[in-house]
Amino acid sequence: MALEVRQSIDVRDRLRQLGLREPNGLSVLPRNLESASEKGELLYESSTPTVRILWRQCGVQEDRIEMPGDSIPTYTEKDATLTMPLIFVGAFLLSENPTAVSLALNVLGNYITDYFKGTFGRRRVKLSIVVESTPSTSYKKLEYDGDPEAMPDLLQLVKEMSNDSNRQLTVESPGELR
Amino acid sequence: MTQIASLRSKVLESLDRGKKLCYFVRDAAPQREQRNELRLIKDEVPKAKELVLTNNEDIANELLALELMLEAQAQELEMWLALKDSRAADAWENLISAQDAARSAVRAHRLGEMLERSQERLHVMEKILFPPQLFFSIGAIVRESTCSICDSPYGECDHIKGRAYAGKICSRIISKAEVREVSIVDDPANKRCRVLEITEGGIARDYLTWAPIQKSVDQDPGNDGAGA
Repeated sequence: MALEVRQSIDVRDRLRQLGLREPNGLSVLPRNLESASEKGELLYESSTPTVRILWRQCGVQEDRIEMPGDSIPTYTEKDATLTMPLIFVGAFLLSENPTAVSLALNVLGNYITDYFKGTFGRRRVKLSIVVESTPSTSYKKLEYDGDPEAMPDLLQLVKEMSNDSNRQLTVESPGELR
Repeated sequence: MTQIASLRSKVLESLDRGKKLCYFVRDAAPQREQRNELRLIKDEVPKAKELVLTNNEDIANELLALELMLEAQAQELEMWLALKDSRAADAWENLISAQDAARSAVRAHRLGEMLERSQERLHVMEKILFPPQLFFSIGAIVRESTCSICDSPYGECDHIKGRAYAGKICSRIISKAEVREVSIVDDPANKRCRVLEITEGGIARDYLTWAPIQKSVDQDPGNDGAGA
């Protein structure tokens, strides 16, 4: 798989079931949000604290899902793949402040470029973004797993996923999407 | 500042001379001399770092890049020397240390970017000098980790792991974790976590050299396996 866009679970419903906050803006979601049977099983990707630092430095506001006092640990896998956190983009933020979404995604892109600087051989990045669209409230999930240099224009994809909720789901090669 | 400029010139000139020696067929004696010279120059870097004012982050990072560039070439020379002595495992360690130092130099400061070609060369060496390896990778739940620069819980400060700050590379120090899985992978984060020996047909072999390992193996021929 290089790039896949598919229907996602109802994120708000799932967060409610697990006793977590429902975000309105931009959030990081646990990697096992879909499969966890209880809140205590939730795990963030290992890159989550790094992404939070980068967003904070650039003034990107994260709408956290944890209740006060909650702490979700991270899961680290020591292979060479850079796995970025699962990102949630709320419908409200996309309509009210698309610049914030653009900035947040640019920060991710720049970090990925910097991370692979000076590395040779196989380079692999995995990232997932869930986009909420209204008024019917549906969720689509974008998953990219491939060469960081062939990564598609994420902002463009997020906008398409948000604007056209009835559009047929597509699986295309990154080259076609650039 | 004059001292730092002079150190920079000294490092770059030595690295330039050393490039000519980074080949298997070069004689071991000049390779050893060059390695020793690089180590001596490297010892001068911490003294130079002390001269840098704490607020001059760029120069501190430049000195770090110089230190890492020296280390990368010294490790490559060590690799060639180890290969000549049939010390394959040491050579592998030296190669990985050279790659790590070169990558960190590239990320530490723009001066280090001159090592990008060298990094590519080290990657090619890995593929043509050594057989394909099997590596181990762990999966773990991290409950506590701290920043190596300021000792704060990682994520609460502004330091990013892998980046240079005032002449030091930031690391995320994991202090509390639960290992959940160990997997065999071909593209690990740490190329030092590799399979060391394998038993095939009742014969234990060094996975790197394929030489039989001299030890008693009480194992059925059908019960082969790998060890690290």
